[in-house]
Amino acid sequence: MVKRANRPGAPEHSIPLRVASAAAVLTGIAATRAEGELSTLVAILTGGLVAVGMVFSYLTRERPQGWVKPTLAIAVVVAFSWFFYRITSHTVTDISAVESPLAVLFAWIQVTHAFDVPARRDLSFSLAGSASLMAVAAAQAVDLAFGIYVLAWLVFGLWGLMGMWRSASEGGRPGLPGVVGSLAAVAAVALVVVAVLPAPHVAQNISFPSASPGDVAIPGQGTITGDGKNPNEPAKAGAPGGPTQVGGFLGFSKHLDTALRASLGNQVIMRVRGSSSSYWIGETFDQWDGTSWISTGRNLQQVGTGSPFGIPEPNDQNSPGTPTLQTFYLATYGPNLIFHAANARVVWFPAGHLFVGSDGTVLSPVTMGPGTIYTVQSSVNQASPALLRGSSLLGDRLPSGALKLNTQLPQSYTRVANLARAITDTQPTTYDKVEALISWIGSNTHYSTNIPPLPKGADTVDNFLFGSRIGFCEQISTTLAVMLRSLGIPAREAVGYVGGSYNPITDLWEVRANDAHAWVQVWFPGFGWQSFDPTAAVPGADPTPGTALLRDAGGPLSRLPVVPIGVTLAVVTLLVVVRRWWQRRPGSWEEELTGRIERVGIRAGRRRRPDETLTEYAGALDTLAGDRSGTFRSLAWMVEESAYGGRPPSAESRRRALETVRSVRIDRGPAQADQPAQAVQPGR
Amino acid sequence: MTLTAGPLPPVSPPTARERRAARRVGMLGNRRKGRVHPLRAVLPVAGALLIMVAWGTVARNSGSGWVQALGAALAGVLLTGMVWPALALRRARVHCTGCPTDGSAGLPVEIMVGASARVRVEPLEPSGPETFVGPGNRSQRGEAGIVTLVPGGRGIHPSIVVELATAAPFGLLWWARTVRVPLPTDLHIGPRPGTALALPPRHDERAGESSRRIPTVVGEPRGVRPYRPGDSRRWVHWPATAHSGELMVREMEGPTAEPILVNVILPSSPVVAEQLAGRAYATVQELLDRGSPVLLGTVEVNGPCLARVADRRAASRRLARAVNGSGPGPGEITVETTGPDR
Amino acid sequence: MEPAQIGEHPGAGRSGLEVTDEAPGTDPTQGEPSLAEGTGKPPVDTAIALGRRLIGNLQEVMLGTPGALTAAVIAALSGGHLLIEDVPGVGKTVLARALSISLGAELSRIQGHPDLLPSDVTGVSVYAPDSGTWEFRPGPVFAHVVLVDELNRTPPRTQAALLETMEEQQVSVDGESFPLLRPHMVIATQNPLSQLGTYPLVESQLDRFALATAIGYPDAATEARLVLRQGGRFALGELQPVCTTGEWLRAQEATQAVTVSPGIAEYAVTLCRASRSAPGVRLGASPRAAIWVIRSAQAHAVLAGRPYVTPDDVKAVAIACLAHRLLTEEGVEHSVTVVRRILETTPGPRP
Repeated sequence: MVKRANRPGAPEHSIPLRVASAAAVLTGIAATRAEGELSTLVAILTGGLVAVGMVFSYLTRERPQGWVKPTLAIAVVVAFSWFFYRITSHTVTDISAVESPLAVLFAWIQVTHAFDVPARRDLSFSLAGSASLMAVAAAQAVDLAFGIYVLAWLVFGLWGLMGMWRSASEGGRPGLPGVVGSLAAVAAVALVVVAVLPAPHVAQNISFPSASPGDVAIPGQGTITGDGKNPNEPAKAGAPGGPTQVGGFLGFSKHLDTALRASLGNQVIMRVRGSSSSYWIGETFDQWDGTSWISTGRNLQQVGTGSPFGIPEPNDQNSPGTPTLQTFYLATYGPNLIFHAANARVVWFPAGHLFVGSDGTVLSPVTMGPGTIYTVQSSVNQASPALLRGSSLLGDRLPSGALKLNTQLPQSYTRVANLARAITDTQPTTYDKVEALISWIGSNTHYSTNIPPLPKGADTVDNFLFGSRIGFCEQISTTLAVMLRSLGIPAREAVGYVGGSYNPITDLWEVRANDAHAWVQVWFPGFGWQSFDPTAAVPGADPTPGTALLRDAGGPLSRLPVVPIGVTLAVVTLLVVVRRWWQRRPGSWEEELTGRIERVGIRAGRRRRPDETLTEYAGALDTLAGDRSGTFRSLAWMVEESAYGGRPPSAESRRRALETVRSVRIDRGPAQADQPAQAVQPGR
Repeated sequence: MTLTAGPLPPVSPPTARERRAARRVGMLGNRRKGRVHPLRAVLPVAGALLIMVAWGTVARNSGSGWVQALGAALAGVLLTGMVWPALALRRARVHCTGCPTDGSAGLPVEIMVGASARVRVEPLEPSGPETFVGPGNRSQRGEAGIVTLVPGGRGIHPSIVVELATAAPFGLLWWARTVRVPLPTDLHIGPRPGTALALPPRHDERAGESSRRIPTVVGEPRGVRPYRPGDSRRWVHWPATAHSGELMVREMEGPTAEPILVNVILPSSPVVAEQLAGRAYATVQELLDRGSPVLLGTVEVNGPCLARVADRRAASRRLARAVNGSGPGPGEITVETTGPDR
Repeated sequence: MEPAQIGEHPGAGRSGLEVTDEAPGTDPTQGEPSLAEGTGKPPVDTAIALGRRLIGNLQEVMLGTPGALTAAVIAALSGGHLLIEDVPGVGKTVLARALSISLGAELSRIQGHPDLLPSDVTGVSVYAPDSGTWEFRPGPVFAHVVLVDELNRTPPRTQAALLETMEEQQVSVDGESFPLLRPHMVIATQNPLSQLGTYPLVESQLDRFALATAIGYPDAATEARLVLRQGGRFALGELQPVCTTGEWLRAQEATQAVTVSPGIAEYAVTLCRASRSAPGVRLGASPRAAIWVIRSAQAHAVLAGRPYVTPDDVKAVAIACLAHRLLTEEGVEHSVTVVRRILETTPGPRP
């Protein structure tokens, strides 16, 4: 007997089902193309062939051609061979190429399969295959625009699945309530899954994306360009020539001039996929001249011969941290700084080499713009306050050169030093001193991006502390760094971006131009450079998609008029409850007695059938109870004479009847079987 | 005259399909009665789990939120597709809207079954091929579908046991429920006609000039009446037919001939009993065709029953009601004439 | 082939006679129900008493057939006509005779046969040569109790004439109307098995019968007693009337005064409506059927000693009142099943 699995299914005649399946596959191919994993040529080729194959399959569904299967088998073998050749013979850098071998393989498998789908089951494989294409595409999707493909694919896929059932049930058609209900169920389950599952956040160890679509080499060794559009334009450290450009945070340069004022846009600079939000460091500065930070001790050196790049540990960095991964998807042109969390260890970047500074700054040799993707593995050694409090006792100190550089001050800053000492006098440890200074700054200064320009010749810190006491991150962080240095604590200025806002659908942190930030890093022996942000609190906890959705929904919800809605709901509920109680309430004496008799019966396990008359039921209960005197029948007779004969008994009789039925129990235990007369026990 | 037919050897054991049906009907008796249960769930569930695990792997490895969102949607589709049929099946109601009153064992009987939702109906008792009923493309809402029963043996069915199954709306997993559907009228399954016993020629045929002469209609002609199905064509009264324009047959005053007694004792073996009943049926049929009144003796649940059978249908019903193992021994059919023609 | 089902009440033995004896209404602990005294209505208790006496009298003659007996008394009290469908020899005629004797009424018997003419039933105007006028000679239908044996053997013309009189309560001959005696009750019998040479009653005619019943075979012990007592005929001679026709008429009026609450009427109508949409039914019960269900239920209540109708009464008479009116694909046997299923599936009224 032929096994069922080997038997080809009956030819599928439903054209809508085929159209839906083909549309789902084509959507998958289009989505893959949109995410840049298929070249346009391959996408058009495979899409066209899938369409042709589907038509061919439909036409030959009842008379399978003998030559088709061998040909397709050969095609599949060829596709797989090409795939293995591609992934074994090319280096990881080439994953950054516009074509992803996996996507191409899936697309070609779909093509070969499309030529041999005579039966319903084969069409279901087509649907499943389109899901794999969508998975490949979704893995690369970083923006909400991908939702159009998701929506289209879901529509076609569900249409196809319903077509499966319609075909399997010989024309069954789910009614509108069924369709709406099942779709609502799908949506509900999907929402619950999204809300419950933690977001993946970061790629794990298969392949780390990196891409650089329009890379142009930057002349000079380790030059920082201000704008990736023009590699020859150096970063602007001086006054901006015009309106600030997107991404043109003036700090991403060799200098950070705190006298400059600029307003930052709201454009998305980059999207970051990471296990948690963090401060994305661009570079650090060590020398302070009163108005500007200058990077002097960077000592750039060229590393690597290709991606991935191992980043040598800075000589002032000694403690191993927790490795974390981040992938950066650039959305605009920007400086050739490679951002990272804490200390970069490994960088996947599509270039031949990188420049790394001794302070951990990583520079790209090529321009970076939209489409540039790179992944960084960082080592985060965020230590707990308790450990930091004890850090002065253990571990090594900064090398003397670095120590000198990071406690450098251009002038004596007497007033600042006195203030800092006054604030931290009672604090025993470095950590406590830092915290005390941060809290003092927090309670004695105000944040504003709209501050007047720095007067000529004025010192930023003096002006801030003993002048306006209003400033933004640059002033605030610089003040903290200078106060720490005045106490002899090594501190430096770091610039970069704060984490950005989390998008629960794409699972990415969206970093905008106004997320550019400056903060302070303090040296703790044994723990290295620890970041402190005097401007704001430490970034919030790692959000899950569910909490992010709730948080987003929480805003509009909290603005709802809660009290009127609550009162209305309560009133409606009360009305419903009262109405049900009113309906259930026995309307008359007869109904009450009937209900009580029925309850006695139910307790005895003998429910009244709907067609059963009260007399019949009472007779059955009497029989059940072995009651020859007919207690229940007497009660039923009273009810019926009152209800149907229009002759209600006296109030006394009613009362007695109710009391009787209230006290009656039918015991059905085997012990009572012999003594039926005692089975009914009227009270009193 | 007494003719006796013994049992024949059994032909074939019940098929695998019949055994399976019997097993599922048996479930009606125990706790699983009416319980909605999945059919061949291992493959779809395993497939779904595999897809979800693979998807989860992709989501974790790509770290893409879109993969996760798509995976959630996929999980929604899979879960809904697998659970929804169970809910739909709980709410689905089937009822029989029409059914014939008589049928024969082994021959298909078509009944009309209406359903509130599209379901696959597989008759289990009596068994039959599965079919789809309920609203769909090819039949309007509530319109009944035709379910074919192929009863294996005789019996009277006030209801049928069917297995309802559905995979709506995505066709991912089939769920089934065994229900008893009452029939609007009892379905009498008579025996499948077998070979009639070799009956002796009638006494007036002993001359032997023709073995197929017009049977003598017993009783006195009394008038004519319109043709009713089952009437012998030899009773057609052609002059009256020509006169009235519709087919008329002669009708007789109460038959005066002595009836022939056919006594059937069925053995306990169901297969042999079916065959014996079939032979008895064929014999009665032939006797009726000859025009002889027939007294059929059987044993029913309530005890022995001896009564006249007027036509084939009555005989079929009587035999449908006859119980197996009614007498000692292997069962037999005896044909006796009670009148003076011996 | 279970003719005993015809006209069988759900639990005929229980709700028929025994209820009369055991009804809670007669329970001494509850006291006699005070009847509708001083309300201007005919006193129901006279009807109750008459009913009891009738039942007792008939039991003398008809042994072991409580269902048919109750149906006959219900027909007599409700003023309806009775159709008895059963095989010969079970006592159809005896029942009719016993009923007429007990009611103190004269019985006229019409034996149905194919040559029976309408005038043989209704009567005929004959020319009286001496007076030179046409004189009406009333036919057998002019009696309080008319027994029509084997109604289905009479030609449709005659059936129609007879059934017309049942409905109109009068006979029209040659443009002249002659009212029938009151009370007037037709008891018709037909043999459901021998359909050879018969003219089956059409549904509109069946609808005129308030109740249809079967007598059924008595059990072995009763049958033995029957044989000893010569099938009841022996007792017929000794049977004494329990009332006069006048009392009978008053009892009928009293029966019609039995209280029917709206819920009960609704229940009866629901049952009739349900029969129209029941599976396998080609023609359901008419509105007239509902009326007769109620009137029969009133009579049943009287037999149970109650001046009001309960759902039990309706259930008890439903099969006898409805089954013969249904036109099913399967004949009378199935009609009984249909009505029984309707009873089982229709929720009863709740007080």
